[in-house]
Amino acid sequence: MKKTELLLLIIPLFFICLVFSSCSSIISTVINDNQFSEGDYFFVMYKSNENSISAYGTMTIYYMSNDSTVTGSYETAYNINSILPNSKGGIIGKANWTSGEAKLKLGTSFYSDIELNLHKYIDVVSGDWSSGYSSGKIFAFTKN
Amino acid sequence: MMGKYKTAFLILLTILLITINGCSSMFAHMFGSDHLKDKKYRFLLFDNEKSKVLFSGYMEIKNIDYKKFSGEFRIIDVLTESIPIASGILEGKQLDDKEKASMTMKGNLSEEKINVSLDKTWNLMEGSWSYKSLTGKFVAFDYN
Repeated sequence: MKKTELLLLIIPLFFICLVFSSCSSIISTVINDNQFSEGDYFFVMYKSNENSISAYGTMTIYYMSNDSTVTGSYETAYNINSILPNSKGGIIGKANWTSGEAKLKLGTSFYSDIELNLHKYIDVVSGDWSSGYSSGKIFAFTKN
Repeated sequence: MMGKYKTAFLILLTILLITINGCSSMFAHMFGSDHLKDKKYRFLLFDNEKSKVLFSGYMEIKNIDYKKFSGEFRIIDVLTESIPIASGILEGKQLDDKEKASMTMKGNLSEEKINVSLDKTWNLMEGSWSYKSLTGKFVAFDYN
């Protein structure tokens, strides 16, 4: 095989590898950004069909390794009509690291729970909450 | 013999072009070519240090052209000392770095305005706001 012919093969192959490599690193960054991580999240809750905030506060998420169990705690700064069962409480649930999906429960040992279905997309967590006959939207983002 | 390599080269070049084209349109789709989206957002005005929401409401961005955009807003929750703006119009411009933008929220009934500087304008809008001596973090996310 002549040197020129070899170059004709190697150069485009090099470019293809370069493009795939850069694409996969960007995709990997995006996928990793979609994963849940430990830390403090500021959260805001809205009741269905209401434009006003019903509750807001801080959720602190801890991760238990191996089985995707999530534990943590929450503290409200605003909780009109006691949407959340108490001003402080615990968090427990399961999170799928790779897809950014989580099912959590917020509550205390004395009061009923609120169920959350969350999805993280890059830098914002959004989802639905429900408790008895009440339901609505929840948004959360990493606290700086 | 040389014709065979020419064909291989052309095939590889075609694959390369398809890959580049596919990747660029995929990222354009994921992040949006102009970042700002013509849609409704919920927004929050924070006191950073106290992690407290001071004001919240909703806004609708429309008429996005190459540099400028406009829209409407309404403040719903006033959780601290009032600013004399309930609703009004948005006027803004995208900066050369398309993730960044600046906008003003002008009151309908007065000349009062809130200045907003945005560092992120996709998925979650994030930046800072100022009104006279008040300042803080600005966050907006999908209304739906």
